[in-house]
Amino acid sequence: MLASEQCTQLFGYGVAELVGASIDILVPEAGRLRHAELRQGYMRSPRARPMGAGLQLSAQRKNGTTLPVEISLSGTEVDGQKCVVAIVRDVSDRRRLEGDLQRLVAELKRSNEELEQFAYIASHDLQEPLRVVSGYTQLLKRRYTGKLDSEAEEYIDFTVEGVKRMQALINDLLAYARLTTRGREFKPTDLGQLTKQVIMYLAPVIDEAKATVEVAHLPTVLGDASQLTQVIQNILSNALKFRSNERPLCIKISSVRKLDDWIISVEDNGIGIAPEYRDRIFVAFQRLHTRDHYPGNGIGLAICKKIIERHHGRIWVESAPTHGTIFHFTLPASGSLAS
Amino acid sequence: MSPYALKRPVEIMLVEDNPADVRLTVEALKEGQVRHRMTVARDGIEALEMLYGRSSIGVVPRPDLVLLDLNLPRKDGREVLATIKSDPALRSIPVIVLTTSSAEEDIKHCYSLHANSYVSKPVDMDQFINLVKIIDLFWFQSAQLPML
Repeated sequence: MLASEQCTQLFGYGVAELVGASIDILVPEAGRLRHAELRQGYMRSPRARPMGAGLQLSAQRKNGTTLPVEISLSGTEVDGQKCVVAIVRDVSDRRRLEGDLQRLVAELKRSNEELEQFAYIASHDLQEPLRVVSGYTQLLKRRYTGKLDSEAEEYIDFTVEGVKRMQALINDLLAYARLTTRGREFKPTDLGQLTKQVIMYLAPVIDEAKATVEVAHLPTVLGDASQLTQVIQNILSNALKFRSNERPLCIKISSVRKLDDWIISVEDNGIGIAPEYRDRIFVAFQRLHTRDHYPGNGIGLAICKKIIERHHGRIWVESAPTHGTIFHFTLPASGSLAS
Repeated sequence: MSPYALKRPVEIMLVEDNPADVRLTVEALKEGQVRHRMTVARDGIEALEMLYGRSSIGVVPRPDLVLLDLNLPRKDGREVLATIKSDPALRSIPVIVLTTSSAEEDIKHCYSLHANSYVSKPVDMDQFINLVKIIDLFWFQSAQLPML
């Protein structure tokens, strides 16, 4: 064996100890016999390749400790003698990082699941006492309206309102938590068909707003139909809710293929969203308007975001305040059946 | 034959551990003007003791209907339901599961144990009163029940 200077440092041998010795002294003891056989096999037809592809190789230092390595082999000739050049790389750092990364991913996955479970249990178990509070305040209102002074009645009304709001929040939280725990298996889903159904469902509101909805060709994608329905429905409901009173509402739904994704776009000519709020609208329970102006808890777009992310897509908004809003979301075309 | 046809109040057994909930159901029945007599069992064991006539509070009339909560101390609603529906002497008593849970597993499980229906407790009092009226209208004024 001939060995480089770095090699002596890596293994803790002096040059004199390595030169002329068998390469096997650098192989952990347990693998030496097998290594000798493999070495003879390699010598019969030496070609450049990594050693032990897919295996986690170790080498042994002079002091008996081992280290994780990667080895590239190639055949050559030195002074007319057949030789093998083995380039040994110490990959301790990388192995350690890989291990850390794996542990982190597992930890993150666990804490994520725990959080979802927590949100689900919290919202579910919160309903029980809330139902009692709500029941008795409503009963109080039923039985004592007209028998108390106006101040007492006002207090009761505020309590009833507060309880109703909290119920709505808990229901939304539950719906949000269920997106992952109750998500269904992805199946080929015709977005055009699904959008047609949403429009049918919203027809009374669309008629009332005297709005027009134009739907261009939409693809079939792999997804959870009931969740994708929620996305389309939430975005359309928002367009209807935040329409301008200066012009009749017009909504356009279209799709375009971009590399491996479909981009679905829903455009309206409503009141629009100021640029500084474009990220906030996707956060749960964030609202840009007072309840008197526009009712709602601010969960709709957070649900859309979570659903689209569960489908490995992205959702974002483009808007010119007072001119209108375009929501775009992507869905992978990988499972797409239609062109 | 319906109990009303017999000109007697309906016998309801409510299996529910939370006193606030018990009272709320009582009030809803009152608001809904359901002519009834109620026996309350505070857990699953008490419910079965009453149904088998082994209750320490004395003989309890056989209920025309059982309103059963699922999450109960000692013996939960699922076990009570399984016991009632596997006993030829009790299984003809209609059991309505009345619970906060709207979990799919619970609904499926209760029907597989032959619950007569599964109802989620409405959070809204008006809806609850309405529900109680519907139960009365269906089970006591529309459905034909076996003679005891």
